[in-house]
Amino acid sequence: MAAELELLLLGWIDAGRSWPGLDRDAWLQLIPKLVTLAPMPPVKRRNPFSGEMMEFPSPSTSAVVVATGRTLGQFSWSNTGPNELLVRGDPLVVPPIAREIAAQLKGSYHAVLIAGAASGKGSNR
Amino acid sequence: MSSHAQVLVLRVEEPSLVAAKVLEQIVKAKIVEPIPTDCVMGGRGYPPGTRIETAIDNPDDVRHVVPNGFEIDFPGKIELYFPPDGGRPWVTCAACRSPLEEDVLLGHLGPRNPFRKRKLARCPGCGDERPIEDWVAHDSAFGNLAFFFWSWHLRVDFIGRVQEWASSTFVVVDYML
Repeated sequence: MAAELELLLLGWIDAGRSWPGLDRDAWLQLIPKLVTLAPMPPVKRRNPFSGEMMEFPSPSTSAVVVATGRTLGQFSWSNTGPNELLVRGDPLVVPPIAREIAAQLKGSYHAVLIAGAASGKGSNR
Repeated sequence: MSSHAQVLVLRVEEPSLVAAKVLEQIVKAKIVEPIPTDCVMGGRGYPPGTRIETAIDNPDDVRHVVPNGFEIDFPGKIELYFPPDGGRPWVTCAACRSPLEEDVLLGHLGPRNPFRKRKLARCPGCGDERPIEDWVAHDSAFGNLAFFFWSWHLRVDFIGRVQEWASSTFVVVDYML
């Protein structure tokens, strides 16, 4: 399933490292406005007890970049800590979209160094 | 049943002075009672006051649950605060933004021998070396003072008031147990 592809950690969008950070409501309003984004689809997993497939809804604060049926990127609201968006996906396709989102949310996009540890981090989160 | 706290994590020069100032104001506003009780997890905290509704959106819920108090935490050093319910903190280099591997991060968060020279965390990207608390924290926050509000859902205007009382910036960590 496209949404379950492992995506490389590319960086994050923040509005400073302390409270209040990014505006969560502004992000939720922005998702349907950007044609490059779609709500993150629900995830299917097998129930270990019944063996049946179950559908788990994705958080409304996450959005994906989908092209030709494949998930190329993902923006997910940080669970805790500074209000920020984590950016994962294709290093060519996603960063321009991240910069656009950062500008709309009055924040900044920070790209991580994509090498060695960076790729490992992206694959296991 | 799990417990939840919203935690304001600060990094300040004089944590005890900032804590005293915030406690004085929060008691004066009758948001908490002045005498500590066992209303927090594993320690002493200040129970909800008669004007708690000026600070939170769920006063009725909070009055009838345990824990429901206000707790001040002084770790005595700069500590990484993160939700212990399986959330994974991670840090990036302040210079090149390269993430630090999880094992290395955990190694630097353990207890330190104060009589030995401090070990610095080396960046796998640019090679810079710096204390772990000078890395950029994600899904977590470094601080030497933390205000735990057990079962409270803080109102944004109240968080702003605490920021004024503390005269400092902070990070809000959602803490689940």
